[in-house]
Amino acid sequence: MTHNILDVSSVSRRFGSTKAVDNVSFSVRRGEIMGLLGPNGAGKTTAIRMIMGILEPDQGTIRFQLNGSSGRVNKKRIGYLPEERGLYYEAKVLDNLLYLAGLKGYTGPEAKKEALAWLQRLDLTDWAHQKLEKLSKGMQQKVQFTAALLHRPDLIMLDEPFSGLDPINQNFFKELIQELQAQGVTVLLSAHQMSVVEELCDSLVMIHQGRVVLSGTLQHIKDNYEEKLLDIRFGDSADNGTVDRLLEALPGSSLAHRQGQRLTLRCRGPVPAAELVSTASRFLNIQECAVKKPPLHDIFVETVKRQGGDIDAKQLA
Amino acid sequence: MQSNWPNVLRVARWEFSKGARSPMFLFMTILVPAIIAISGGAGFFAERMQSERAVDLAVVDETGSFEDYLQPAFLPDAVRIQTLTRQEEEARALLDAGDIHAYVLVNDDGLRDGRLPLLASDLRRISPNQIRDALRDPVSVYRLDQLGMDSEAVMQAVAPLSMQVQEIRDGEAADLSIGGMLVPMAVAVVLILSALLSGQVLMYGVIREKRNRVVEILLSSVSSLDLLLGKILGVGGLSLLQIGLWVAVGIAVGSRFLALDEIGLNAASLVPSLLFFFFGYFLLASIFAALGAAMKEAEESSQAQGLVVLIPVAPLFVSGMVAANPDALWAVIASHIPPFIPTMVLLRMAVMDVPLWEMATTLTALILSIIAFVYVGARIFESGILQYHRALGLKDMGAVLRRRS
Repeated sequence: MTHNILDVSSVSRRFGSTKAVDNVSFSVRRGEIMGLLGPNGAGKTTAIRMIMGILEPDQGTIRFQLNGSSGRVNKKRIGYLPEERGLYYEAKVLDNLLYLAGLKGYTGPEAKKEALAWLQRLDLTDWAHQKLEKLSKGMQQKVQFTAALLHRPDLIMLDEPFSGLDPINQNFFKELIQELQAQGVTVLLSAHQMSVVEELCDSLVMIHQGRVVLSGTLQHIKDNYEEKLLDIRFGDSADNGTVDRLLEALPGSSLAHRQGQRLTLRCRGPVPAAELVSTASRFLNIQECAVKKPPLHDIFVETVKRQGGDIDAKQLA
Repeated sequence: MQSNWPNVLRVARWEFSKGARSPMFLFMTILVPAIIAISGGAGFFAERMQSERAVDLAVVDETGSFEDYLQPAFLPDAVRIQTLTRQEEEARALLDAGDIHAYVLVNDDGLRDGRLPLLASDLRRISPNQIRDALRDPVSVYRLDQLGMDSEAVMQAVAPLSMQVQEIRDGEAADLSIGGMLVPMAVAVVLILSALLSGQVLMYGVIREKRNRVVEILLSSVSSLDLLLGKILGVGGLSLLQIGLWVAVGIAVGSRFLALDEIGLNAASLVPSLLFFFFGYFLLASIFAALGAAMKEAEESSQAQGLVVLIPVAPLFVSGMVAANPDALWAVIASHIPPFIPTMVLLRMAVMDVPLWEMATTLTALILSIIAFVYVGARIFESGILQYHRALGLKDMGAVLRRRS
């Protein structure tokens, strides 16, 4: 039996003359948290809508492995939090939850008990019989999240789950996602906040202008990216000439950042970390030193540029 | 596209209960029957009060010979002639004392010209028409006698003509069934009314869900076809319940004045009309829902809504021609053109017995067109519903329909 819960193969979708998703392929392993990354307009939402069966792909196939059988989307086994949030604001909180769970085939006293348990956990018990419009935006987000997972799905798709959340709620939802994973739920989330995703995801698919530019596990992506960042805090002052000589001693390196007695070098090529530190120590009185892979944000931007793409790095937080 | 009926019914139930709890629905459901009951009741009581209100009248007969014609047989009960006098002063004194409500001056000039002065203490208390009607026959007979004619013979000769209409059914004469004409016409009107009411609710509901973004959540659980069908059934059921209540109140109020069984209003006469109503409603509702999905804002949809409402209304513009020649070839053809089928057939049913074969072909055409319209509506719904920031144009709709599913 395959370990993948979802296989997306060569999927494309066009809107008029715009190719929103172009020959995208990736797989999601059972029980993992996968991040679908890319700037706004990259094609993430279109890809997710096709996976959910809301939109039909022009070409390509999307196959699920749910309950031991392979096939097209089984909407009852999948939870969905869309980027464009929305519920029935004029209806009561509990009615909203039970209706949406009912459409997933989860009905009866068990569904009600589960919904009330979730509301209790989210400190919303007192609001169960209130109209949704009376709740604050943060509370509404919690209800929306609950609606996506109340029916105990095998796979949950979260489109930009952290957008519009305050830091407290962001942390709350991060913990919740990790808890779902611990319970065996597979999570596919799209985001443009790289740092948040880096914290959560086991694997990633990075999309730009509808095409996959990078994919794999977080470790794999970082290991395969040949650039390293050398962070140094040095004791004595160092003039520009010293820094220039250090850069000359490290072929393929460049100054990424300098502030006072801290500097960051971007080092390309397969030079071992120990050798980088050793070389740097010949020029500077090193107090602290770290060799690390660049953050995802940098990897993504750099990869897009190398593939001849054009990207506004500010779109990625 | 295949339907998941449990989900269709869940959506329908939700739409029904959501709509039934809305203040506007409750308000309209109670208000309209109240208006029907009040206006019907008010008319009934006004008529009764009017007919029971007797007028005490004095006649000042200056001719000296007219009084012979004021025999009780000529006069209705409600007009009581209290006094006959030749002196207007006497009548005025009675009026001032409140013994009579009015008096009328009868003289030769007035009888010749047909203009008799009527004087009253309070004009709101009397009805001049009632008094005029009461005096019409005595004046006519008086004039005929003055001309030396046989008044009895002349009155017989000019008696009004009325037709006693009967239909020959199965070789036997039977009274004309007004219900047979009334039901299809009434159903056509109700169809238009319900299309207007529920179509509007349906369309604005879809637009609101689009604006609320809840539709994407729904589509992650149900197909666009299921959602569309559920909405049509839910909102339609609610609308039918509302109209059913109105009609029930209308019939209850109407039965105070009309013997419904005597005019041929019975369950059997309702069945064919209701079939066309039911399927006709589905046809229009699918168009309204698709329209809502294609629109961005409620404001821009109102004009388009007007156009859709024209579909059932359009045959009414030629209703005179249909009534004059209901089995003309053009009427038969128009009865098979999908958007016009329900109203055209209902109009023709009002004035003729539409042949059974034609009932079958028009009903089949209607059902097939509903399937086609619901399918097309669902395709437009599917594409338009997620276009949050723009309305679908005709070009977009064409592209949607050309896409393979």
